[in-house]
Amino acid sequence: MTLTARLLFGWLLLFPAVSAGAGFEVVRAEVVLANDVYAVDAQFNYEFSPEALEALSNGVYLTVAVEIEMRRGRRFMWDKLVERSTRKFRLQRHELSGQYIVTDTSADTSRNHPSLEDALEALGHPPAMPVIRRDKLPADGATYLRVRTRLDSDPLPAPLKPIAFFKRGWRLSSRWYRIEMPP
Amino acid sequence: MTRRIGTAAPIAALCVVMLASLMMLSEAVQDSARFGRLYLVLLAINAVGLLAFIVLIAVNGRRLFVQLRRREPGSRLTLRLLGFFSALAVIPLVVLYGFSLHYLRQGIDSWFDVRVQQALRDSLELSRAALDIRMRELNRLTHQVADEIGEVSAPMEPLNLDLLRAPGSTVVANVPSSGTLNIDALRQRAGAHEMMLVTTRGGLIASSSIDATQVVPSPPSAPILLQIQQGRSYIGLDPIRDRGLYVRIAVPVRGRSSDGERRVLQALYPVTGRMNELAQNVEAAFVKYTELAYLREQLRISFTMSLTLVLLFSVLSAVGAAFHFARRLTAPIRDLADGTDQVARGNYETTLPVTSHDELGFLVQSFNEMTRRIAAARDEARRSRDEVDTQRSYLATVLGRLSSGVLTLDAEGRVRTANPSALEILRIDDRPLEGRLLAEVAADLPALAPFAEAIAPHLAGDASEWQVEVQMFGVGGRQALICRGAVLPSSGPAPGHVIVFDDITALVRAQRNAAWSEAARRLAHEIKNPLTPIQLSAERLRRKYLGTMQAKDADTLDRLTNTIVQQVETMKGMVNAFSDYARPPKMQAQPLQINALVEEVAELFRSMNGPRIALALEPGLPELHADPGRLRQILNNVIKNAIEGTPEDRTAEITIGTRAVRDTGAFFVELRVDDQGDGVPAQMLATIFDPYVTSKPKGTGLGLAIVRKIVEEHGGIVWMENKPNRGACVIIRLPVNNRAAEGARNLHKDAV
Repeated sequence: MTLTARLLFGWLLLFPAVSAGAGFEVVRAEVVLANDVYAVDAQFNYEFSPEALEALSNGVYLTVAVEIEMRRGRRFMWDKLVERSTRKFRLQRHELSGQYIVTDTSADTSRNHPSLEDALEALGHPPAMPVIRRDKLPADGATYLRVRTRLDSDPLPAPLKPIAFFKRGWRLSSRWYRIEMPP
Repeated sequence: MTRRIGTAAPIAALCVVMLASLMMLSEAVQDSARFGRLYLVLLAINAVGLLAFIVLIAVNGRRLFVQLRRREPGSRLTLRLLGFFSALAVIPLVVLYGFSLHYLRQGIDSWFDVRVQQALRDSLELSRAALDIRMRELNRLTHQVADEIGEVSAPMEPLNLDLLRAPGSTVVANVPSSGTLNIDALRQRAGAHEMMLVTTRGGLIASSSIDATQVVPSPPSAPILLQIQQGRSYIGLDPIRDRGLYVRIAVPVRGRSSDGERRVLQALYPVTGRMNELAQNVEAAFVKYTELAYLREQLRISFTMSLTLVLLFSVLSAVGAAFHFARRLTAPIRDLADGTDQVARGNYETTLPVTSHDELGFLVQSFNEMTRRIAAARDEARRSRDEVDTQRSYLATVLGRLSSGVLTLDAEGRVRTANPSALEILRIDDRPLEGRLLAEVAADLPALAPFAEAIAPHLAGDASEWQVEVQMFGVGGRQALICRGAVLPSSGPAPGHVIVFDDITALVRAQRNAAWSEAARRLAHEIKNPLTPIQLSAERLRRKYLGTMQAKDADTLDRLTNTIVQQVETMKGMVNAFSDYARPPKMQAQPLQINALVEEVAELFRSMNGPRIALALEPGLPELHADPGRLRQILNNVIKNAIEGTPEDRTAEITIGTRAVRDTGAFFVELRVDDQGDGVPAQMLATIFDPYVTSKPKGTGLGLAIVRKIVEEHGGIVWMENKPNRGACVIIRLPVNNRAAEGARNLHKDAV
């Protein structure tokens, strides 16, 4: 977690991200095992705030960060973080073509969508995201995964950052969605 | 100095950190990739820094407020300097801030021009229009190709691309030869970058691409396929990263696939050459301009925020610095005020730190020099005082050990000092003499009146040295003092006096007694020797010639010799009396009721059919400590004296009285013996108690001398008075105070 993210986290603790009519949600998430790698197949529902949509229509890229954490439960302390991975997807509008481009920054692939709805639909169905190799999974204790997605303010243009920091319409995040690891 | 550096260093460090973070914040706002990520951190640092400044100023302000309320020195000056510095710094800053804000708004607004935005929008439209023509041509071409494919009815098994993309998929792409359908030839002829034939479910029937590295082609997206299913073609511009603009066209193909699905032909045509480049440039410029226009307000807010932060930082640091400098400037003044206060409280060791070399530093140095000199003077004065005290205690010790009394009087006659011997000689026990006039003391103690009266003329006189003898009668009985006085050396106009006096009572008495004793002893010796032969001769003469003579002569001889013998006897008695005077028996004092003694003696005289003795005795008299034999002798002598003082033709009438008397602060028992005789000539009253002084023809002149001697041995006093009508009165006062009587006896003994 970067310092910025820590500060943001602290800020979010003080002022929870609640925006009327807007919000991110983890609709479904499950663990799949393929080629000895545990991956999370999840489906999200994105509803951007008017402020964010206005920025998008004015050429500002919006980035959502899907955060996956593997944690091991402990009795008397907070759960131990075993693995963390973040996958970022960028949404932008191509003015000339009128297309919405969704870019998977980790895989460095992008796809064009003729409408915002299509783009959000595609954004809500990302490909399965690998978390940990099966042989790296800790043997002791029950582990679980948790997933959330949020609007990442780091890539925003600098003048927008203070606004994004202080305005609720820019603090968009889903709750953590917990997935138990298969035995 | 260290403390000042200690407080200034963190403030300076805070200033540097805040300045650096403000500069970085400014960079971050300029969209610099390097600082962009640190924006929030810098914002937080600045906020914390400002908070620290506010806390610092609040703490300083509170301290100043407390100092002002306590009216601490330097606090008002600090407040004035603070106000002055703050105004000097803050007012220009606020003015600068206002103008900067104004120009900032104007500057940002001037970057954007509606005409430029419209021109960019028009350029974008122009690009779209140009591309539209090209897209229509390509649509027609794709439809032709689709028609050609539709004429070829070759049922083919489509490939499931989703399965192919899934992780862990083991499906092997095995596109069978399309037989009569040569899609690659079609693609090349149409000039497409990529061409594929898919089913409406997304299954790949055939594909061809100019890019040999693309293993898995991208089929039309679900919305496009949906649109095709509805019988509508899809024509769209597709920007592909790193490759530029492409035209994507998807059209339905007649006929169905082997699994009965409808087929769709998708072709991807590149926008060629110059048009691609220009269209992309226009799009990029438009997007950038739109973004900037959108961010204009945010930029203004950010700039305003940064500028406000700078202003706050400047104002707060200026006020903080004003506090620091005001305090630093007033510190020497405060130190000086504190130092002066310390000096006023008597702390002359106060030295102030010299922190500067300016006028204030000079002032502090002068202050230190002043306190150093005051301290030196004080030490010198203390040494002198100690020396004086030593001298004084030395003198007091010497005076205390002197047997002579020493009094010093100031010019007004007030007692300045009196040594213990003076108090003892003057019989002053517990009354302080210092500061009182001698006349006042004498008013309290009447016994001292002769002393004060004898000295007073000499104090007023001009003689630098004088001597006087004083007779006093007080608690201890008669006292003879010899006083010597001298004028004290003094620089003033009215000098004081020192009086040295000695109690010479015992000495005088002893001298007198010794003289009289010697005279009596010699007289007795010289007279007693011839008396016996005279007496013997007279008796022998009588015995021898009395028988031989005639009666008449014998009678004469008898009478004459009898006279001689009687006179010799009388002279023997006189000589014995002299001997008694010269060698008195040892005194044996004991408690004694004088009334009983008086009654006893009176009764004795009455039994002799002599005088008529009347008694007037006061009952309840205190006991005397006296020798009863001696007192009896006193009474005998006095009564005899009274009898002898009475003419022979009259019967002596004597009255003996006793009473208790308190006079001149002392307690006495008084004995009065009155007679009805002729009295004593006035000129003899003063010497009647001296030996050989008598007013009677028959007296030896020793009776009253012995009385006085015994009275003095008892510490008492005796005198004689002529009564107004007739007769004389002997008055004897014996002190009740045992100590005084004892002292008088000791003195008498020493003198003997």
